Amino acid sequence: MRPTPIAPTDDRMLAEAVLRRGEESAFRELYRRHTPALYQLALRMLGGSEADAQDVIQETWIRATTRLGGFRWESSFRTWLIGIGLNRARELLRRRGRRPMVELDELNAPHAAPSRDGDRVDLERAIAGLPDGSRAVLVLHDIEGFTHEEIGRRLGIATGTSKSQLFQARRALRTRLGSKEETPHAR
Amino acid sequence: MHDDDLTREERAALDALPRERDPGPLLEERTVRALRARGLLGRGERIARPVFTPAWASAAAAAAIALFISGFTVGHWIQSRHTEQLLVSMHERDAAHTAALVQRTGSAYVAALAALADAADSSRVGGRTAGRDLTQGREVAVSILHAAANQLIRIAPEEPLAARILQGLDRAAARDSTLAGSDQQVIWF
Repeated sequence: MRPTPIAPTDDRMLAEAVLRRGEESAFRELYRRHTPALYQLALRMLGGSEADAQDVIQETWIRATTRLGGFRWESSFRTWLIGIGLNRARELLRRRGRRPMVELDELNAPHAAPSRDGDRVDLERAIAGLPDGSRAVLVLHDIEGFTHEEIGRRLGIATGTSKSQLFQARRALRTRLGSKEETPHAR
Repeated sequence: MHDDDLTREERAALDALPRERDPGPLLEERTVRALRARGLLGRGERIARPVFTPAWASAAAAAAIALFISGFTVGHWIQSRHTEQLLVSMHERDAAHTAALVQRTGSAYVAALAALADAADSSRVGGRTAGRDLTQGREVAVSILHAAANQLIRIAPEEPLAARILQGLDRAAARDSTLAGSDQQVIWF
């Protein structure tokens, strides 16, 4: 996972204030510091459903605050928080038996080249339309920077499964976006 | 297909995606309310759980010792101050205060003798001898009574009761001295 420019000491001080004194101001500071990243991740993991993402955010903070005393600070607060958020998102997807927001037929349909301004929106939409498993792996690997080993641990799947899901996700994206041109590989 | 199969354009497109998104203030308020409802936030009265680190334990032990020593010192000082005040009051207070002091100490003397008598009775009931402590207590009581009678004679040389007490005690002391010989114990107070 890519390192995030946050101050762990400050996070720890705020977390201690929440844990020991139930300080609301300290919690709000922590919330505002980490929620935007967590919310964006949850939103992508859940296929763009804002209501679901908001439920996951709330459940994540409740779970995190409840378990704050057990956090050993061996990782950053954000890494720990995202781990909880991913579990909440997985649980929500499993509980609701979600279907992709965009049908696979639509993904495979010929697609006109998007306008420059619409590239990002189209990419987000294409990612949202991926099946749950493939989308989760693509989001974590290609956007958040997790390794396949980390993804395997986070999602409870084998490393090989993670690689396979990523392959399928990228192929589906290319089909959806029509970006099949042969260009030099970035990495 | 491998992980590094992304094209430069694909990589750039993914990197350009935003990593953060503000969910708005409503979610923050909703989350805070949920935490409040669970008693996890907004509890100014929440009792902090102590962390028993070695440093904390050392500081607590040092504080306890300091508290004990200071308490002991203050108590000792108050006690000595009380005794000093008693002596000062005997010499400096007026006659009325001194008479009241005599009354209080006299009551204490009688009460102490009553307790000594009770102790003597208990020892007899238990089949034991009065013992050395009871003997010493009786001798001290007689000595104090003798000293008190002497002071009364100083105050009122014509006081008949004080004179009879003093004469009786002197006679008893002379008789005891004859009977006990050199075994008589001298009590200093």
